[in-house]
Amino acid sequence: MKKMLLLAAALLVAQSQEPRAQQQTLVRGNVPGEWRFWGGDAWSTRYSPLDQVNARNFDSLEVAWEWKAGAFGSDEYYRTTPLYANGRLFTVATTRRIAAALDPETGETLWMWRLNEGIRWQKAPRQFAGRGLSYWTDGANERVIVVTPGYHMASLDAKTGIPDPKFGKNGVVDLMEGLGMPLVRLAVDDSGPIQFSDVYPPRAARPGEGWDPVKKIGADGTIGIDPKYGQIANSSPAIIVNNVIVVGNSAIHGYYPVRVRNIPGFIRGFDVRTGKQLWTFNLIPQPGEFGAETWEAGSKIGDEGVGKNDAWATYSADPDLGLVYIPVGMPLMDEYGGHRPGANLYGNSVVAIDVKTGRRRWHFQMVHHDIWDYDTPMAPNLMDITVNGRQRKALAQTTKQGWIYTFDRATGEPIWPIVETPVLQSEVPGEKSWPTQPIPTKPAPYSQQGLQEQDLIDYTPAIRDSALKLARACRMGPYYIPAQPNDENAKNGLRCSWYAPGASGGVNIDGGASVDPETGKLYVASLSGLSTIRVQKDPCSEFRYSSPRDNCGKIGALPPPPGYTPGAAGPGDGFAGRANASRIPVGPNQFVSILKPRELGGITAYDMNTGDKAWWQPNGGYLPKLTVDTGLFAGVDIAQQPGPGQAQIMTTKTLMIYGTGRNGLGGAPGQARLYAVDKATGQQVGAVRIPSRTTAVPMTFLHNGKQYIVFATGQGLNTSLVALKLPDR
Amino acid sequence: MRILPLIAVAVLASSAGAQTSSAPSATRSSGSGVYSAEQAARGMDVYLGQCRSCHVPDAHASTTFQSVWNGRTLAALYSYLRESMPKSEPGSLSDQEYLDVVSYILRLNRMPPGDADLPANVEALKQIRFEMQPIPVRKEP
Repeated sequence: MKKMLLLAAALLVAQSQEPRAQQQTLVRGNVPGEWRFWGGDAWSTRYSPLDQVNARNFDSLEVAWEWKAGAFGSDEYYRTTPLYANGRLFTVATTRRIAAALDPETGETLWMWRLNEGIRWQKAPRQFAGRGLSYWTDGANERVIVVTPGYHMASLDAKTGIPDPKFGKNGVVDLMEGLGMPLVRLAVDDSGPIQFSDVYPPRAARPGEGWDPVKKIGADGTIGIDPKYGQIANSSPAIIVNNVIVVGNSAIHGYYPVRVRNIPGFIRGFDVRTGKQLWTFNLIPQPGEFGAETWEAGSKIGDEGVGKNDAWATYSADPDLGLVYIPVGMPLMDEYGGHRPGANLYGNSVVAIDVKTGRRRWHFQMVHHDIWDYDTPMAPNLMDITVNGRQRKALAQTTKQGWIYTFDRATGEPIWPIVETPVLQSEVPGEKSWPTQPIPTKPAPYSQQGLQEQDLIDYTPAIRDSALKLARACRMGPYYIPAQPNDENAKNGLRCSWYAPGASGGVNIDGGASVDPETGKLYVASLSGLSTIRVQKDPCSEFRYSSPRDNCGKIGALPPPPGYTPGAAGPGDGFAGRANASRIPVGPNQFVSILKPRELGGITAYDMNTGDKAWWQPNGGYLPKLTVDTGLFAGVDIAQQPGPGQAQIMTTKTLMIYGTGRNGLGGAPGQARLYAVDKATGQQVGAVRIPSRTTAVPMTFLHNGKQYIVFATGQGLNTSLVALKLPDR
Repeated sequence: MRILPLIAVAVLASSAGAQTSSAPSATRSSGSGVYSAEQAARGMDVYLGQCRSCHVPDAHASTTFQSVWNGRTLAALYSYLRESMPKSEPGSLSDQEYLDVVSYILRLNRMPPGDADLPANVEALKQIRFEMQPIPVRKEP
C-alpha cells in the first residue's frame, strides 16, 4: 500500500451547487426516479417508474451529451451501467477502473479518482472498467464504493471523490487481506498482462529484488496474496444492504488453466462506515463446513482441483428480509472436472445469505459438478407475484443454461417443481459427471438446449438428411451433453459434443433480465446459438484434460513433454470448430443453420404469475431473411432466423427499452439504435439512432424535471457514456 | 454493414483452416505492406470489443501462434476467424470486421503496414502468405 498513489479529486466543480442528500422514501432500496444500484434497485429489477419518455415521443430523443471515457485511458468494451443518486451520475471507466462523478445535465466531470495498483493491476485477471459502483447514504453522508481490478475497495465521498479517512486505511480496504492467505511482495518476469487462463502470472519476489524500470520486470513494492495460491480479481460492484457492504471476487478465466488449484470464491460483509470486515462466507466450503462433503477429494484451499466457485456477477438483496442473493460461478476448469469429483457446492448455485450474520439462509445448486461453463451469470431478479392465488415473494434466477429457476426468496422453496433428471454421462477418462441435473418444469426455456433430431430443419427430405449428417458428427442429446474427448477414448469416433447454450449463454452478464414490478412480467434477453465442445490434453498443463490448448513455452506452464511438437494441437485457441459444423454452406458467405428457427434468444417476456411466455421479440426487431436459388435449397422458402447479439434491456412505466449489445445487428456507424417496445404487447413502438451500439445495459433517471437515458458504448480509446433526452421545448 | 464480395471457404472440418492452410502458390508475403495502418486501427477496435474478453494481444503474436500460422495463407486465417469466432456467436461479425482483425493480427506480429487495406476477396487473400520476418536486432550505438 505504500506505493499506492491516490490521485483523488482531481476535479472539484460546482461545489456550491451540490445537492443535499435527503432521507427519502425508498422503494426496493431506491428513490423512485433514481438508479442507485447497478440493477436499478436492490431487487435488480432494472425498472424505473418514469414515463416522460414514452411511445409517443421516443423517436425524438436526442443526444444530450457524450462523456468520452476513452480520454482517460483504454478499455476492452465499455461494460458499465452508471448510477444516479441525489443529483449526480457516478461511473467507472478504463482498464484502471477510475471512478468519476458527472453532472447529469451536461456530462461535465465533477471529480475523478483512481488507485495506482502496480503489479496487482498489471496481472489482474479482469483488467477492465468493470460493471459499475455502489452508492450509500444515511441522509447526511454519501459514499461511492469502488472495487478495483487489483482488489482494493475504496469508499469515496460522493460529493468530492475524496476517500473517507474513517474507512479502512485512508479510505481504502485491501481486500486481499483477511482471507487467510499470506501476503508477499510481488514480482513479474514479463511486462505484459496475465494470459488466459493463468499463464504469465506474477510470483513472490526474491529477497532484495528490485524493479527494473526499463524492462519493467522485478518487484515494484506491491504486496499481494502469495501467487502460489493463484489469482483473485473483481468484475462487478459490491452491493450495500442495511449498512453492510457485501463484496465477492472474480477469478481467472477457466478456459484452459495450467494449474489444478487456485483461489476460491468468498463473500464478505464490511461495515459501510469503517470498512471493518464483519463476516466471510466460503463459496467452497472448507473442511467441517456445510457442503464440504460435496468435494470428494477435499475442499481445502490448495487441494488439487480446488478453486474458483467465484461469484463474479452482480448481486441482489431484499433489505426488508435482510438477505443478499449471490449467484455463484463454477469451479476450476470449465469443461473438465476430473480433478474435483463431487457436486462442488456452492458452484452454480444461488445462495441467500443473512447480511447481518453472514450465515446461509438457503441455497439451490442449479448445475451439479459443472463441466459446461454454466456460471450463474447474473444477479437474480426479485419480484412479488401471485401464483395460483397465493402471493409469493419470489426470486427468478436467469442462467446461461437457458432456464429460469424460481424460488420463494425467503425460504428457497421452488415456486414450480424442479426435478432431478438423469442426464448423459461423460466418456472422458477420469471425469465423474453427475448422474442427474435439476430441470425446472416451468417456465419454459428461452434458448436452444442441446441438439436432437426434432430440432433440425426439414424443409425437404434431402435437407433433413443433410442436416442430420452434420448433426450426427457430434454427440447429441436434449441438454447437458458432456464434452467428448478429442482422442482415442471417444466412443463411436465422436470427438465433439453439441453445446447449446454455449459458454456465453443463454443469459450472460452483458444482457440479463428486467422486471416489471407492477405486472409481474420478467423480460429476459438471451443468446440462442449452437456450437460444439471437446476436451483434450494440453501438453504443458497439470490438467488431464482441458479445452483444446497448447500452453507450452509460456511462463507458468509445465515444461514440454518429450517428443513435443509446437502447434501439433491445431490453431491453438480452444474454440475452433465450436459452431462451424452447425451450418450448411449454401453460397458465398451464406450458411443455413441446421436448427429450425424458433422463438428463442432475443427477448422473451414471461408472465411470472403463471410462468407462461407472454411474447417474444428478436434482438433489434430484426429477422434476417436468406434466399437461396440453387442447390439443396432451391425453391425452398427458408424461415427467417433471429439475428445475433445479446439485447440490453430496462423497463419503464410503459416501455421496455433496449440496445442490441456489441454483437447486435446495425452496428456500423450511424446505424446503431436504441429500441422501445410496448412492454405489454411486445410491439416495437420506437427506434432512435445512437452513436454506436450499446455495450452495457442502459439506465434512466429524472434530473431537474427531465428524464435522461444513459448507456455505455465503444471499446479501446473510443469508449463513452451517451446521454439521451427529449428536445427542449 | 457493408457486404464484401468474399468467396466463402466452406470448411466444415472442426480443425477449420488447418485443412486449407498451405498455399505454395501464394506469391506475396504478409510482411510486404499488405494492410493499412488505418485498417489495423479499426481492427484493434474490433479486437478490443469482441475478442479481448477471451484473448490477449500477446497471445496472437506468440511463438505458438506463429508456429501454427507461419507459411499459411491469410485466407486460411480469415476463414478460421469467420467460422470459429467469437466463440459465442461465430460468424456474427461483418466480413469487413473479420478482415480488419486479420490486419490487426499482422500488426501485432510486427508486419509493416502499406498503403492499402487487405483485399476483400478470399481468392486474393490466398495469394498472401503469413510469413514471419526476422526481427532486426538493434545494435547499441
